Amino acid sequence: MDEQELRDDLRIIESAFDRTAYQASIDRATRTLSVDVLARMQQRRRFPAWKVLAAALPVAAAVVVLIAPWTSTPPSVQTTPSPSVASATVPDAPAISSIPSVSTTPGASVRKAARNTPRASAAVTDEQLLSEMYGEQFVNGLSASIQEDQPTMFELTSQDLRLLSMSVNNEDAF
Amino acid sequence: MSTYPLTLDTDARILEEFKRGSRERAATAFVRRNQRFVYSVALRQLNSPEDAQDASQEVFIRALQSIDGFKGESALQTWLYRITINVCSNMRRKKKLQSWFRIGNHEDEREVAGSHVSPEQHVLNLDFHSRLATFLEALPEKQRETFCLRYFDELSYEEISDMVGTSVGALKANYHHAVKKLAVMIKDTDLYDQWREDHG
Repeated sequence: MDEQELRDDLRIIESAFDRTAYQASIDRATRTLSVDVLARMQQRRRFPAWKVLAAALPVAAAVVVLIAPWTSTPPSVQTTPSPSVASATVPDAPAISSIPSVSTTPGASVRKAARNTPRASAAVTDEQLLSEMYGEQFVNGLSASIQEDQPTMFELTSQDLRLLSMSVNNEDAF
Repeated sequence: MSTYPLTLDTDARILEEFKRGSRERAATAFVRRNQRFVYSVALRQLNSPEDAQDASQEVFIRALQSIDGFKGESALQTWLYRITINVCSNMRRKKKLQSWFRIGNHEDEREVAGSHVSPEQHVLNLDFHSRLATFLEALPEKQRETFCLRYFDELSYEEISDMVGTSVGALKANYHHAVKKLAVMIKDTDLYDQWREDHG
């Protein structure tokens, strides 16, 4: 194609597609482009992707929580029979022999031993403690009065009450 | 003391302004200097003014975010051209995927197929950009892009060669073929007769 032919063809093209009109239309379309770009950049700086993601996470989590019960499969039926009450194992109370020996020396060692003693042997310990503190005779008398259903020394008579009130009012009465 | 550039009318001055720290001023000048070119390329690639607007914004945002890493191995316009082509091909891919999910929404195609006007008359009824797009679509891709960069964007063969990575000789051949084909297509429409009447 020679240059003259090319120029002729270009004139035909210009008749259909006016370059100036084309560029004017592009200028109209891009009039606010620089402002739009700067605004979008500012917006991205203010709300970067990680911030948007962080804001969306709780919503996504809530959606998952709401949807999960509808989408999850029901739990499979357990074929292993549940342990019956009869076969339920109850931890054995420690045997008396396993109770730590209580020192006969009154004081801290006794209380410490009592604290460390398992609850199943509490009655034995109480009895031992009582006999340590008040003497064996007192403990025997107490257990005899309980067995005979007789009033114990803890059931106060009217005279005891009078004495007690006197002691409260006047400690020197004793 | 360094001189303060009053007008940012060259790539070098714009880049210098970025380095100086006046980023907003430099960014505004950068966008204004290249907006016509970027939008024009995007419009040809996407055939939609709205999509071309979105693509142009995205191109400039990407460019401004990485302008500090621009080493100046090529012209800024060449660099922008490559970003524009990437952004547009991503958008086209995305749109293709979206349209694939919108099966049966082909109203535009039905409108043209169902009309009883000739293709030439249909071309006349369209506006400037649609008419242009219709003619350009008939060209092979390389000829089309070479013609547009030379004819509308008024770039030299050397600049186009840097952008598309084709030799100047091959570009000249592409351009000449494109001009010849377009002239033939235009001669076949009423548009040419109308122009001849107008110009005696």
